[in-house]
Amino acid sequence: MNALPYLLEKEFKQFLRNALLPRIALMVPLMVMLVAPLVATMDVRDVRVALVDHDRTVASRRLADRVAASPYFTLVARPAAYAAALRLVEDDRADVVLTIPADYGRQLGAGREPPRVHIAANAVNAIKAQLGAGYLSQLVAAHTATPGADRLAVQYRYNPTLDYHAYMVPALMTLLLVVLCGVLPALNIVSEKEIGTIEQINVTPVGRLTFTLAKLIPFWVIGLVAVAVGVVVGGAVYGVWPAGSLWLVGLVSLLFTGVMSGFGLVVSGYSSTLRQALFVIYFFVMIFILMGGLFTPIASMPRWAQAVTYALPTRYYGEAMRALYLKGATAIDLLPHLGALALMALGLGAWAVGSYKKTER
Amino acid sequence: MTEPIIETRELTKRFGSFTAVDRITLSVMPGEIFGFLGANGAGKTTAMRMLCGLSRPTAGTGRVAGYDIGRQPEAVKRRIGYMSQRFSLYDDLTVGENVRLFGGIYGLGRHELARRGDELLQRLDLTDRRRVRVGALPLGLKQKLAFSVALLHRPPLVFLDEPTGGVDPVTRRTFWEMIDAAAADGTTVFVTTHYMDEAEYCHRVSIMVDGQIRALDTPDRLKRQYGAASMEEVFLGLAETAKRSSE
Amino acid sequence: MNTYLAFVRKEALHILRDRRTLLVVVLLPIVQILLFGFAISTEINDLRIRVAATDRLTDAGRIATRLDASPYLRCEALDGYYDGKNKYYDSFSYRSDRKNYRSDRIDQVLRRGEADAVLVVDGRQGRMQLVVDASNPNTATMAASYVGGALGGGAPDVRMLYNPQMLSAYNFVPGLMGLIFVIICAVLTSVAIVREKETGSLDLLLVSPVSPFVTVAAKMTPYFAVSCLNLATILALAHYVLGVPLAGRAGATVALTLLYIVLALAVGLLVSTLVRTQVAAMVLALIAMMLPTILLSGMIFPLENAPAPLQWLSAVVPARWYIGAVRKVMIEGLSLGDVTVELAVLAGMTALLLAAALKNYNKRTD
Repeated sequence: MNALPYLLEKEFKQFLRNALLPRIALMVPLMVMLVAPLVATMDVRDVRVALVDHDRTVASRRLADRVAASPYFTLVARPAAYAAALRLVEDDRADVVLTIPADYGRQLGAGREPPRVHIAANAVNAIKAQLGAGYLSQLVAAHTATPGADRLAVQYRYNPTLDYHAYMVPALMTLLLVVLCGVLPALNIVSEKEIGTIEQINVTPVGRLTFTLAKLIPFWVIGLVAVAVGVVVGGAVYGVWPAGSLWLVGLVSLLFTGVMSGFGLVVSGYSSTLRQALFVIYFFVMIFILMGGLFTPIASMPRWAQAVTYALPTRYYGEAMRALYLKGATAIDLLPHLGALALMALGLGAWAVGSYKKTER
Repeated sequence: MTEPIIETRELTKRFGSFTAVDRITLSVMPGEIFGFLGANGAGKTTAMRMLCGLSRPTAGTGRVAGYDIGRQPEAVKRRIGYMSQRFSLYDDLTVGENVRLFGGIYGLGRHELARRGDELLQRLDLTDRRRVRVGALPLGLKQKLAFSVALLHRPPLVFLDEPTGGVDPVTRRTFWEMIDAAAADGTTVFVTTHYMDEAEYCHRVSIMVDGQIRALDTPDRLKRQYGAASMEEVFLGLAETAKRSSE
Repeated sequence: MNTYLAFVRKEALHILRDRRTLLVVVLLPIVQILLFGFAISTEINDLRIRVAATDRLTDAGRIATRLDASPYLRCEALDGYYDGKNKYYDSFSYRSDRKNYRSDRIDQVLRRGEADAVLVVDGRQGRMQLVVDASNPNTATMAASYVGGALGGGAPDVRMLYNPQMLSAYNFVPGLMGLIFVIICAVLTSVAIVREKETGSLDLLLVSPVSPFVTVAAKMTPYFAVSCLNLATILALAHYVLGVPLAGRAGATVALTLLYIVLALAVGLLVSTLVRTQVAAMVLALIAMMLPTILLSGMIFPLENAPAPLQWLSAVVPARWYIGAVRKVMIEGLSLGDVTVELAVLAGMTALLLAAALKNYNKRTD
């Protein structure tokens, strides 16, 4: 353990002198935080609606006006028949077809339940289809509601303006930590293996724990710096600051960094070439990112896949960061997340120490 | 009588069905310069890796500096120095930083480290180049620095893996003067080389062919035994009997 | 031609000897297609709603039963329990004086993510309030829409076109193909070439009398073959497992993909001429290829939502054109004639990249 400060000095100096790595460590947070929130938005605007009005009454016209007035929709055409509307969808000139049946206005005027309005959405773009249809049915339902039904008031809590950036910014920290603290340490060690410099350490009496810590700690620091950059950029550019404690943001990020760097080290322990390491990491990183609930909701996965997500560190980190940013969650609220991440970090760390062989079989 | 500092008995390493090192038995006495010769692929590197505690023997036993290489490789590592031609110092760290790093790894105290470090740099005339990156040094100087760093923690035994590969003849000469000086101080030197003139400088040499030790004695006696004028002839004569290809 | 074949043989041996990499490369697309085909969906369903009543006279059970009938909602009592038939117990409904407590409890449930929304029913006033966790704006919108639909009349009849069950697998297949080929072709080739630079064997090839063009083509051929193998498995899986209709569409998809594979190989080649170490090649490939492909290709996020400058920027991301075109031919069943723009852009990019790469490559030999 006495050698740890010396080894750390070596790792930091090597990192800072590398032509590529410090730039990457700075560029990744900037790129991710500047570009991703703008792109990773599932805010659906300008859904193009083709309206087929078989009713042609005041009521149907008022519904059409409501659709046209909504910021979500543009009324692009009013074809006479459904078939013509479908053609518009096929030519990619409309996303949704709204059909108002005959007799709609008369029944509504008489206070009876009118025949159902029909919505057909182009599902090739699934998000747009679902959300477009969702907004549209809310609008139609509100318009069609018969008097006497219970009144429903909706309160949007934590994010009253329904700002998608506020939802993505905290979770994007996951992306940047996965890339910086999962991928880089693995590449670092495997390249020492491939070049052979690791032999020089293996032939010394440095302990496995000391060596592993010397490899891990720099990435914890890099991870925390990246998160700090991310927090500042997210706040300055998108006005999204954590509602909860910054200390907790730091703690949960540190734990997650520990998990990812441990993971990177374990992979590197079992790979003899960079190629192998890269593909194994790529495989897991894709699962971490795409299945961790970052971009698509975990709740919409099938049961078995939801069960799998309990094993993904990204799930806990993403949820915790969102809860911290938006809901101002406390340490007690986040106990399960902190616990899961701490366990994973310890487990992977121990595994990394164990799988590092100073003496080959 | 003193104990040998390296002693192996039937030391063997197999990779699958391939026997890289085949039952080698040898002993090296303290203060000796021991030349470990063999063609590429003869198994020298594997044997040396086992002696350094980098690779576990498949069969047989070995003791280095008083410890069992199979069971106590970390204890062995504390008592040896090691340098190789392939890699020995970090190119992207400066001369001073490399000295500090390896001194620190072997647990030298802060003051001890500073004192020995200064002494070392003075001896190599590198004091004013302390802040130069090792990668920028000429190869010969780099190898001398690496050798000195390997001796920094004053191990009783140092392993040198082709230390003079690619170095010009003048530097090789001065390098061997350093080896001689270390041996005179009582450090045992275990060295592999491809240069047969260097083999002549060793107190004793062994020659490996196909994973086995075919000859082991002083250079003079080997030359007499094989009726050869130089170690080169002895080596070529033995290497010709190899059945394994060199790659 | 003979030297070309000899080089191809050598390169193929390199790949075949590294069993682990080969295994990963072949299995990777299969596992990913299966996993993402079945696991990932942007569809929002299975929302968890908690129900509470403001007083004991309110029949929250009737409301809960109606919500539960919706396939998208899962309904539970805020506290207490709901026995599934008509009895509904809510420990808070007996204590109307503890209004603050209820509001704290709602906040707690939402903050810990135990529910997506809480519906508070006030039977005496004939009012209901839905408190939605709006951290995810889309989930919130859908929750409001589903609850509104389940409670009130007038909900319209919604139908999805082309992709009736909203199988997201359909959507993910082109996106994943775009990503997989970039990773496999671009990264593998760049790393393979840079590795030779690192070990110095590239110089050996460059001083040989063989033209650099032959060496490069030979280096790329085995990776091209591996990619074709991947393409075949992906198409087979998409068809037989995910049920993507391929009749009459396979030809166009294959043609597009072959072009894209060549493009990705050219990217790998260009990267390899720009860097000196394997780590640099990988990091560059990862940062410069993977992130833009995930973010700027429309793979997950519809590009039309991005601000205009980013939309222009996305025009240089090859995956954007490829994924768009594959969506059209594979999912909508359009013909190659309908994707001429994409084809032209991809072909142009390939030509440019190859030219740049060969120019850089030749510079080294001068």
